[in-house]
Amino acid sequence: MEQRRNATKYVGLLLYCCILFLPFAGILGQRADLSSVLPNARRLGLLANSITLGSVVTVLTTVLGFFAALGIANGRLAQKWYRYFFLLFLAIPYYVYALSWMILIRFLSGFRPSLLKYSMQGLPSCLFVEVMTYLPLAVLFCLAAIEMTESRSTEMALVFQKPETVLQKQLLPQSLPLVASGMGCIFLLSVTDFSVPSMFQYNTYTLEIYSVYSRTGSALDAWIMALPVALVLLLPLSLVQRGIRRIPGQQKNPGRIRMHYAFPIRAAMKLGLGLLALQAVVPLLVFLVQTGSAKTLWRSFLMIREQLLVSVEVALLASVLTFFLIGLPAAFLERCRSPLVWMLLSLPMVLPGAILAMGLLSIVNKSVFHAVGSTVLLPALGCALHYLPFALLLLMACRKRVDVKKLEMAAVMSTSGSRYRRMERTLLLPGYLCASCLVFFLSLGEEGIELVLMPPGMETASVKIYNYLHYGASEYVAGFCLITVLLMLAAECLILWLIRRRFYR
Amino acid sequence: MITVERLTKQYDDKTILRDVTFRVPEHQTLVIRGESGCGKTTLLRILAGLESMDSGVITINGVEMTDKIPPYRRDLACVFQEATLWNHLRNDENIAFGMNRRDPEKIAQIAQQLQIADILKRYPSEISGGQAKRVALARAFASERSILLLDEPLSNLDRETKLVTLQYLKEEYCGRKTILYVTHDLWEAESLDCEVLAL
Repeated sequence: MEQRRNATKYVGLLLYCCILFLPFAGILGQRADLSSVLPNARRLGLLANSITLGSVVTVLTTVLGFFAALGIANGRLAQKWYRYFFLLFLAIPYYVYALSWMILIRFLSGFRPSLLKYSMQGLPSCLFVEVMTYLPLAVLFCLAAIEMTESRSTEMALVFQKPETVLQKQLLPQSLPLVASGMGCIFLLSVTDFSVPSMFQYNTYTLEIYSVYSRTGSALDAWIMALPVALVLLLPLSLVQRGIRRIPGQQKNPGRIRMHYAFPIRAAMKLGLGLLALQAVVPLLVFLVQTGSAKTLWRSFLMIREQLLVSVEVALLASVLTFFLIGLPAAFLERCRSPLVWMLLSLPMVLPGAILAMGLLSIVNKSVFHAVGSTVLLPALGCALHYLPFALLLLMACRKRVDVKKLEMAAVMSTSGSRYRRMERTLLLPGYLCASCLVFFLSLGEEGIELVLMPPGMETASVKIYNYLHYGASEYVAGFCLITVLLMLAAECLILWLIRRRFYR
Repeated sequence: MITVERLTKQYDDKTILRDVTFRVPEHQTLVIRGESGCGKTTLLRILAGLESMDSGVITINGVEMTDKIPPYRRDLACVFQEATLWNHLRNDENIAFGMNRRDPEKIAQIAQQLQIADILKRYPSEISGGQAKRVALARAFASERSILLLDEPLSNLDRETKLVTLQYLKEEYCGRKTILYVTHDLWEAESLDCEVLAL
């Protein structure tokens, strides 16, 4: 029976790899026009732009996120189950903040007209939007890292040293691997994104890749062009998976210790928390004001309802696909100590989603399944492909935090193999649900992949908003964004309530 | 019956168990004592199939135990130092987990003896550590396994509850099940009045 289980694990791993690397097969047999895709001075400059934007966003978000996390871990929320409230805003798409920024700048330009030039262009706009978009992710990694440090050793350290020294010499070093993992993740997401830079006319390398593809229609050209950025992103990827691999198991007595820091650190904590609150409140307020009335909101809903339905279909399909694909590779990775295998199974993270979409489109069009190209299945598959490695790493992180002793007790006390496996699935289910939900919400806000893979005549809410934003903000766009945000919040609250009711008492 | 022959276990370069050999006849009780770190818990975990041994032979009820035999096929129930209850199941469901067919009367009877009848419908997060330990004991007692592995089963219990629980164990299970009982407590060992293995 053990042999049968191992065989199933390998089959599952093979299936995962086949689907994950399907886009790579799409470029086989194509011919590239090397002269048009080789790096030149201009493209190297664009690559530098991408790295600059990615680096500044990563550093800013991580610093702010760390102090926000410290504020949560040391404040009234410390031991409350809703201390991860900010995750509700993790899935809010970038264009929500982009629109908030535009509206805010327009409002402020009434007092200072020179600010208007920052409304639709430049690095500051990109920085604002990306920092706001990725702040919840940074706080998530930092808070998880702080909570996973050994509370008993921190207590002992406090007996001998003041809190600032304990922070510097104890908390920071212990939490660094997972914080670095978060930094790697944010850098990856920032550099592989072209939507925000394209909206604010800040030229980046990823945008250039998309431009070449739009011009030539050649997926292979786009992939060759993507190689330099993929090489740059290998280091952040190694940081991401390294941090996840080093997550400790559950502590016996987790406990929470409140530290009484000096004023500068307390002020930084308040700043981080304030920005986290702004990140949630500002878009909602701006949209409520901009939308103006319930009538406009209703009209916006009528204008976008078909696209919302398509978005939900794509996201749902992508999350279901993820749910069934990640289990067996996760079981395989649990016993695998080789960092190279981890890197290989998460390699597509270094490629922009649109690049993967291009490869996928090529292979589907060449295959007997080309009819899939006229359904929502193709963009769903594209989204699943892009976010599968993220989901896998999240599932691995959740698996590491399952109490091994409960699994062992189930292994001893079960009356049959099927009963044991049922208990195993129940204990691991929250991780699967989190991973699937992650893919659902990321796919709901995805737009780059859908621009490439959406069948003619169909459109998602993200693409519609993206197109409208390029024409300038209007009360209807604000309405679209508000509806998207409210829909996401409602879905997240429902899922959170269900998981908490079923699994956490 | 349990037979262990020349069992050896190492962690990195440290030998935790070396050539441990003993035999526990059917329906007998063996108390295992030793200093901290001498391998008592490791021994029970190996018998339960939760860890592998480096060398030796283990036979349970005439069947040689290899790594291929999963824990749930070894006809044993265990209680370790931590209660290890499943938070998503009520306490009565935790107790019933090891039973082939759920028997509410049997569960109620054991719960009555262990003084946990009033918390059966609650969840593990709603009870104290001592109560959780008694639920874990009830789970082991309620299962239809012929072997009990008990690792400091009375830790976290006050003296009166220890007396009651030990008395119940002696009356109901000593002489009916094969028991391996790990303890530091000399009083517990003497109360059981049986053979002692010193590691």
